[in-house]
Amino acid sequence: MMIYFLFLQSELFNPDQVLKFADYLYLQADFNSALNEYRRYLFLCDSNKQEVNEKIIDCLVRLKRYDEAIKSADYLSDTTAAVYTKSLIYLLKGDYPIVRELLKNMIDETKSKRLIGLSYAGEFNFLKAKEFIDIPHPLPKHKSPVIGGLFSLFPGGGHFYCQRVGDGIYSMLVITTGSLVSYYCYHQNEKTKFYISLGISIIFYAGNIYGGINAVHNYNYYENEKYREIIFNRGQ
Amino acid sequence: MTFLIIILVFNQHPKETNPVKIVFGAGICVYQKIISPVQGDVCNFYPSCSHFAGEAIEKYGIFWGTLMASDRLMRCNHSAVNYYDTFYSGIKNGKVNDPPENNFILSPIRKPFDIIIEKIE
Amino acid sequence: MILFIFAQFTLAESLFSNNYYNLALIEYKRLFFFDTTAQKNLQLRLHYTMAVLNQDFFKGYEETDKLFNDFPEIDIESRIILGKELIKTGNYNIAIDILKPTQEKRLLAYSYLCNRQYSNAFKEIQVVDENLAKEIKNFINGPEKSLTKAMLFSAILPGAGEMYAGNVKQGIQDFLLTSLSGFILYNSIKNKKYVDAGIIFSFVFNRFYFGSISNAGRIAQSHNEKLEEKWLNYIKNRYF
Repeated sequence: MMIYFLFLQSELFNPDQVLKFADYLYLQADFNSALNEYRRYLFLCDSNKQEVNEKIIDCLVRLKRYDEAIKSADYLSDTTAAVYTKSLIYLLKGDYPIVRELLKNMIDETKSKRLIGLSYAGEFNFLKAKEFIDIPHPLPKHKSPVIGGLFSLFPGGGHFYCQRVGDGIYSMLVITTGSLVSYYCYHQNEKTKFYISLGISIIFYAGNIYGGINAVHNYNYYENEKYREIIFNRGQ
Repeated sequence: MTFLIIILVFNQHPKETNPVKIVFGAGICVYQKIISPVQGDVCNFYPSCSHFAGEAIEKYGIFWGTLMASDRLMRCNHSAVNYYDTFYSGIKNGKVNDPPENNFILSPIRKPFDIIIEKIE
Repeated sequence: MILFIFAQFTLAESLFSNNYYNLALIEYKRLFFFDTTAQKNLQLRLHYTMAVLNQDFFKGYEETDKLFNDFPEIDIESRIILGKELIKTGNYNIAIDILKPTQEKRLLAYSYLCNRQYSNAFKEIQVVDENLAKEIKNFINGPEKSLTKAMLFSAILPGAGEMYAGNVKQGIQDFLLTSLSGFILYNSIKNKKYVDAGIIFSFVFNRFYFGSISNAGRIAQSHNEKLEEKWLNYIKNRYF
């Protein structure tokens, strides 16, 4: 009965049927199950079909299993395709120097240029990326940390410079209050309170300068990130 | 009372030898155990400002830790929620996520990002 | 091909009945792919929906919706089976909707209880089980601490609200710190040191006083939640 049952089952596990089902699961976005079915197909076929391997790599990338995808790329029969696929996976993973290392011998190809350009864009090196791909104008506008630091000499100035109005107002209030209290204590000849309030004001003032410069760097980082997203989403 | 505070501090950091760090740690400890429970859950950020100060002093030293903590205290206001996805690292435990590592002067970070997957033709 | 489909059907059903839901799911999908008429079989679709419910809360919700769209005249027994599965996986709202047309008052009352709808649970169960109905009625009128009262007590006397809500230690701590800061504030005003008084009021007394009020509300709420959880577990163990 068991052998008969297994014989009946074997018809449904005909490689073509398995492949059809795997494609169906892939279209349903059930990548985990599709991956298992594609692997079952390769096991049943006992061969290394390029298209099916590409689909397996695609499923692994969509599941964000990048390391496994890189290992699977070694099974691609076409070595050029393998290099491009690996470069793309490293690009998605965020290992940008490795992308350029893999493609250094194929720098004149259009596909390679695109991937190399994207790898530079990934590292926020947009000027270098411009040599390889067309990037949208204008480049992101950065703010100067030096000017941010100078603005921070006025309490809250650094935050206002980075368009963070709430933080700027709060910093201004805290430092101004501390300074006024220490000024009042000085005039009342209350030395202990004067020194304590002055010390606290100085700490907050120094923190405000640090915060202003940090806010500028923060602002520049997010402008770069927005620009990078535009480049990558354009499929360039 | 001082003995109790020293015990509280050493309980958390038994290997700490720097006396200034011990004093700062003691201050933060006293605040967290005695004063913070009374005023309730008022911090807009995760981790809270006192935890942030403790971590910053431990990781970056007293000077930078104090600057970071004072900057954090001035940023701890209701406008922080407006920047949760731009200047901060999203939302965690219902509050704006701002760990000490999120600073661009002492440890520049590179966060991973999701891109649309398109087959290269 | 019919025999092959039958074999696949047997495999899927046996995996499901042995609670291998992940494996059963893939076999059901395979069956639905190779035999499009299988989707019109109520039992198969019901078991597939139950397998999805066990795997993913949101996909299970969508699948239940699809099931009822495809089979609007679903029979009572299938409703009860699906209702039990929905309760098991935490989909109480849908379980209530599905079980309403059935006569399973007990099961419906259980869904209402799990969904914290105690008055509805009382209405359903009073016909079937008087003792349980009495317990639910007692709980509704019950031993919960009022959040408003707790916050009001703390507003009048800092720390009193926390003690009313059950946390005496926190109440004493709040009372001591608030009174200490209040005393310092009073002293500053008495000595005509208005700047000091302003600082103490804005940065110290204010925080402790309003913190005490919000603590009272929070402690009362957490006390009520713990009580509710304990009571629900007791009811589940005793009556279901």
